[in-house]
Amino acid sequence: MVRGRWPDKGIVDELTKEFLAESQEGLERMELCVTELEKRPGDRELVSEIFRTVHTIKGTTSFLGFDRLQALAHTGESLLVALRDGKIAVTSELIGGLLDLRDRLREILCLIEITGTEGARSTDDDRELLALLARLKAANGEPFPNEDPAFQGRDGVHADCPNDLPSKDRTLRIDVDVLNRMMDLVGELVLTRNQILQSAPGAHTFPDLALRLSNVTSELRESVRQARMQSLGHLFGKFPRMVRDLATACGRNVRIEFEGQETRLDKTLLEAIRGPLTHAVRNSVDHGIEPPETRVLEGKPAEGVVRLRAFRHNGSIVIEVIDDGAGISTERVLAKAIEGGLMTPEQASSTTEREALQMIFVAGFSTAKKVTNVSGRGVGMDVVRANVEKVGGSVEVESRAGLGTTVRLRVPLTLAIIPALVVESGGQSFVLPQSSLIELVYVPPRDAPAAIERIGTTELYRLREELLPLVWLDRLLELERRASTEQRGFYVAVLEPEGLRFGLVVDDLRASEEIVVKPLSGVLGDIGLFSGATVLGSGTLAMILDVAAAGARAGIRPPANTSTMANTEPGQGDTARVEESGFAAERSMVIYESRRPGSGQGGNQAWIGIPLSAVERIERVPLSSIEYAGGRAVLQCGGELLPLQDDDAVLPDMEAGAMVTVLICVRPEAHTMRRVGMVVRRVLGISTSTLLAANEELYQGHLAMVDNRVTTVHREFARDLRVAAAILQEVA
Amino acid sequence: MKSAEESTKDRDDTVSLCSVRAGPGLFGIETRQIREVLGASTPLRVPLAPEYIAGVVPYRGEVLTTVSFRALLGLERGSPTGCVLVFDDEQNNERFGLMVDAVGGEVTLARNALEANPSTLDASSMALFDGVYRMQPGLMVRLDPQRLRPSQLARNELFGAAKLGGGDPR
Repeated sequence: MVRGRWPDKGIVDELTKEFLAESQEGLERMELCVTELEKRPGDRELVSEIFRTVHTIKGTTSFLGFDRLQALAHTGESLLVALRDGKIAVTSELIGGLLDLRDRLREILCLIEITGTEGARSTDDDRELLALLARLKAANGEPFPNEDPAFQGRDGVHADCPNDLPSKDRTLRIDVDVLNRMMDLVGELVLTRNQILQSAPGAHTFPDLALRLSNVTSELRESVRQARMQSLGHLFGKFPRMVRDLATACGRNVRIEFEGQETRLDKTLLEAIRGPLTHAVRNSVDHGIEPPETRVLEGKPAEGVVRLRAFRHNGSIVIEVIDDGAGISTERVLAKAIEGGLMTPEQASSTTEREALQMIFVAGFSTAKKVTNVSGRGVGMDVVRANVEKVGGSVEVESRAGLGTTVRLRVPLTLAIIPALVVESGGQSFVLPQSSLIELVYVPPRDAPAAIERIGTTELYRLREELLPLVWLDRLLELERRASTEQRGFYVAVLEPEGLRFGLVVDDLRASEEIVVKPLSGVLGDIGLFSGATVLGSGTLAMILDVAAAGARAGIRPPANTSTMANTEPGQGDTARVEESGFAAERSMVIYESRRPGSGQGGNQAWIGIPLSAVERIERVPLSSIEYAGGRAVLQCGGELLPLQDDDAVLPDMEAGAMVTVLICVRPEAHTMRRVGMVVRRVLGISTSTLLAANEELYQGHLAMVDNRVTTVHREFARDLRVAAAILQEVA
Repeated sequence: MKSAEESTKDRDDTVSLCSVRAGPGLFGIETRQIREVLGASTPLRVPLAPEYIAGVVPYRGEVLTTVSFRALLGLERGSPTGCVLVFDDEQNNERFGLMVDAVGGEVTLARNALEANPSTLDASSMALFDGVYRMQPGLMVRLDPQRLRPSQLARNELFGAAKLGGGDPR
């Protein structure tokens, strides 16, 4: 047969490419359906679904001329016809056979993708499988027994099954509506460009045009981001099979459950967490869930449950792997830590449970010898953490001995555009990703000499009750020193990449910006301290510091006793805090004074609060720097046009030359995150507030108690709290 | 007019070079090898990068690694601003910039007028230069972008590897 023989390696035409993508997708679905069929043997719909996939492959291959695929699909199809017609029953042998068929088909598809042919080596022999399928069709098996399937039949695990083949998923399905929307926006962008090109320099329409350009770009960016999003179901889809195979191999009895499969995540990130998530699930089945006998003895159901739960929280995606297995015994972790010389018995006695669990992330601690035998966890957990942190995420573990373990992966929504802080050191700008930034501390000139303490050559900064190792960015990068710190003071950026906490000393802070990460070429990547470069709002380039590598280069090593987050007092004075608020009814809020008629009359000022998580920073700007475009007040800020919102009518009252206080907030809108500047009369401070239950009669919104005073939560930012309240309820 | 140009006969025997200046020297690079010439640009210096890297410049949504030709010649760095030539090496899938003092015009020369590097040339120049054309006012050294690729230079001990982990700041 000459058709379908591709003369050159790697030459795969469009039609074949399409066939490959479509078939791969079909096979993913087939795998899911087959494992599902095992649970619900009577479901005709599932059989039809599997049949459709195999049938489509058969139909297309006969046209493209792939003989192996056609023969397999044909035999598989007749087996499925027999099954559909009720001639044979669902047995675990049949399920195994169908899974083998699916694996073989996938294997061949991968081969075609790489070489352009189906392969004709002696190892590529399908006779055995074809015979198996024929035998299954002939066998008039007994009805499928109703008890647990995972324990019967098939031995051996698909350890190196094609699931682990490099699946280079280079295609993406996009809704035509989304594509149309993008085209519209591109049209808009072109029109705006034309208008800008035609407008005279310094024309009065310029601020308007700039605002429009800014809006179109952010909308375009948002729609591209949307198009890149894929639901987690894509990733979860392969777990039922993996759990089934693994459970069979380890003699466990495990059910897998999903929640939040529809949660969407950027494709690149989805690929990035595939490995870590697989690892966590594997750990849960392998080590977390006990053998059925043990479970029964402990009064648990024989069947263990691994639950994958995904949801959005605070601009990131949280994926939890929850099992109801044995959990991690902290005593044994600590005992091993002492044995391994990672901590002293004294330290261990003062270690909290949470801190002890952090130990499993320490590289070297999590080797099989040390932990697997003990708690059954920690195999490669340091690798899991490193991989997740590489894409700006984090990993946490919670465990209760005897009740189970939860591994929580937290990843940002998108990868390419990250929030960052621009700092200055040695006269150059550098970018720090916000994800590893804990807080910023300004050390004024008068405190500078006393602020740094020395032990040998190590310099430390006393931050509240904690000694923080310091890394000087200018020394690390061998930059020219600026004026001595005694004269200028300095900033300490408290960073915590990969669980290592240190303070990075920089000369100045520039701005907080959302940056687009650009990769570096080989020679510059080899320096090992920069993860990329970016173009700042001002149009100049800046290098993005690889915070973890910088810490490692400066000799920051994991301490024996990893401390948890320092106690969080409300930020005082010159300490700006970048804090992540958990699920709590208590929220840190920026409180300001409002004299708006209606909310506070007769000079009786009302207090209004905005959740701290929504406030990016507080700026004082001269009144003259506020401009008007289309009747709206705008502020140019770090190369961005920021619409101002003056709820209190503060601006008309101001005298020329006065300073205006602007809270730069991120407003959560339906799909976008937009910045807005809130003009306020006076910021009273940052305080922890307790949310009060909504009282419709009194006020249609959210109220909170701050220092025993009723405070209104700003209506536009209350939505965020409602979501939090909903999650709060769910957690409870 | 110029000795090398007189021997120009037909198109196959000729080569079109773009002349560039760096310090006192005159250099030529085959025009079809140049992807684009950027006007005056100031590359952003990258700390700890090898001495021969001038820095990075933005180029079509990418960050372009730029080689300082002055540094390669062992000259003082001079002005932070210069002309950047963009090269695209499709074989190695590498795109990079070369910063020179100034870009002159295009000259057409006979292919066979190229003379080998004099054997007395120092080792680092030997590694950089492709040969010499005799021109009326002086010599024009021919450069091969292949030899100026950052990844190629990184392999050459003469130009030094990246200063990894410490060393003298200057």
